[in-house]
Amino acid sequence: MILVKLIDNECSSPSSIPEWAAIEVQGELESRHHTPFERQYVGDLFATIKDNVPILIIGHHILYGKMQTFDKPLAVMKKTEEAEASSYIVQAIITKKLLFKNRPKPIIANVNKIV
Amino acid sequence: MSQNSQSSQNSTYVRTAEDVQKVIEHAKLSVDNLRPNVQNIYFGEKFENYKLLELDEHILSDLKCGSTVVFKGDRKESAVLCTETKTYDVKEAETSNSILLLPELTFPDEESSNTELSSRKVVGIFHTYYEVKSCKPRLKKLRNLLEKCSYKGSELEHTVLETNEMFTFEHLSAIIQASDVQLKNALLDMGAFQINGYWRVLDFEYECRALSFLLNLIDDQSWPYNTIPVDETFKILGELLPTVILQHILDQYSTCCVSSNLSETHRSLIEDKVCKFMAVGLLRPCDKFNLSDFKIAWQGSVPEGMTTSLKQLNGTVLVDESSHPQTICYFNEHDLPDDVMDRMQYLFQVREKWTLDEIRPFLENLSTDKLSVNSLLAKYARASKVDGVRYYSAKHSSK
Repeated sequence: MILVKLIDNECSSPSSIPEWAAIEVQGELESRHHTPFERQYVGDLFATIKDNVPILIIGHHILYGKMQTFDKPLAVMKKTEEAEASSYIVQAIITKKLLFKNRPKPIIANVNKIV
Repeated sequence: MSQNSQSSQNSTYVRTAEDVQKVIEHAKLSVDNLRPNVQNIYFGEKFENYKLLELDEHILSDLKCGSTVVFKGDRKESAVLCTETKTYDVKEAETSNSILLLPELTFPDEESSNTELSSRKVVGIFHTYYEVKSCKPRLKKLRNLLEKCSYKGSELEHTVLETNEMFTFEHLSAIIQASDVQLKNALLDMGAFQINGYWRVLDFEYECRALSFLLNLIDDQSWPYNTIPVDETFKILGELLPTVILQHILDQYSTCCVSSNLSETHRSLIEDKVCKFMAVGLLRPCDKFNLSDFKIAWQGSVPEGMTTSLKQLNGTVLVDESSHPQTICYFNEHDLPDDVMDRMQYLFQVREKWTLDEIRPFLENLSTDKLSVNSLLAKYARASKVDGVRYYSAKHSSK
């Protein structure tokens, strides 16, 4: 039996769960030299003024996405072990994501200016 | 997809406005079409071991109200998630996409006056999440546990207590894959009750004995079965049965008298429940019973004024009308497998062909709002017609 509950925080009202966001991309992310991901720079996220289209540029790839609301929101849980009972603490709820489901397009840059 | 290697081994690389300007040019985007608040995405210092759990509105509102929801299941069971009232099947779903988790992110439709670069942190990458689907509570284990430590009478109670584990509600709630509300209902449905804080059921033979004490008394005193004086019953049967047991038998098999001036002092036996119990008492010890013999014996076993009817035995017996003579046998729905496929297989092993009316009582408990008995049969059985009567048989011939 594992309990799932919100962060124990008596002073904050229980309905105020932090909202986090998700970015969903097709396939896997890989770092070029298989170095660990931690602390690395991933890419730049833009949005168009017209139609609010999110644009993600990762390396030499440009991705056009869209905003989406989850049919069923996701809870972000972290397992804690206290004494003999373990439980999941819900850290946040995710209701919206930026979905980049199309294949990334390569950016053809000027030869001498490769990023 | 490859990630920008510009950072190379340098872990403190920070994007500058110039870098962003360059990338916009390379990508041939026009600055005028873009919102000024550019977000630079970085991986966080450390990926926490988070799990993602899909929520429906019910679970979400429970959590928001401060309620706790619970994963239940031991190593041999597939996990369920229980709220106060509902049970959900939990499965780990996989996606070929990568889900990046960011505590902070400005969505394109959100107003932002920020014209500076803002850095955003990815705190985890996910390819799986737990999917939840509302399901029936799994209660087979409950019956098994309680039957193991059933109450067999005061003289045997000492041994039962010494050799068996006893269960409080909290204990059952922790090990039974059902919500607390569903567990409470299941305990009441199976006629369980508490002795000294532990949930118990009566041993079948003991219950036969206890109920027949009551029925014999009614017979001896020539009381009408719908007007039984409670005080006198306790006074006379108190020597034969512990008070808690007698009270339980009365709770199970009688209701308050309808007539208002007797409602405080008198009880009325519940015809269907008494008849059903007596039938099970007759059928359970033997394999099969000649149907017409059974009907006579059964009617003779119930208090005067009660009328037995096979309808009272829905889901408890099988009547074989094709054999000569016709027979009846004990066949209880609650002994059947909980899993739909297993149950169908079992039913078609016991009998090759069923009419809808015959099979319905054994499937009703598996049906849901979305899946009626008819749709269960459409999904898991084959229909055929013989002389205008529709029969259901196994979808695949058994191996």
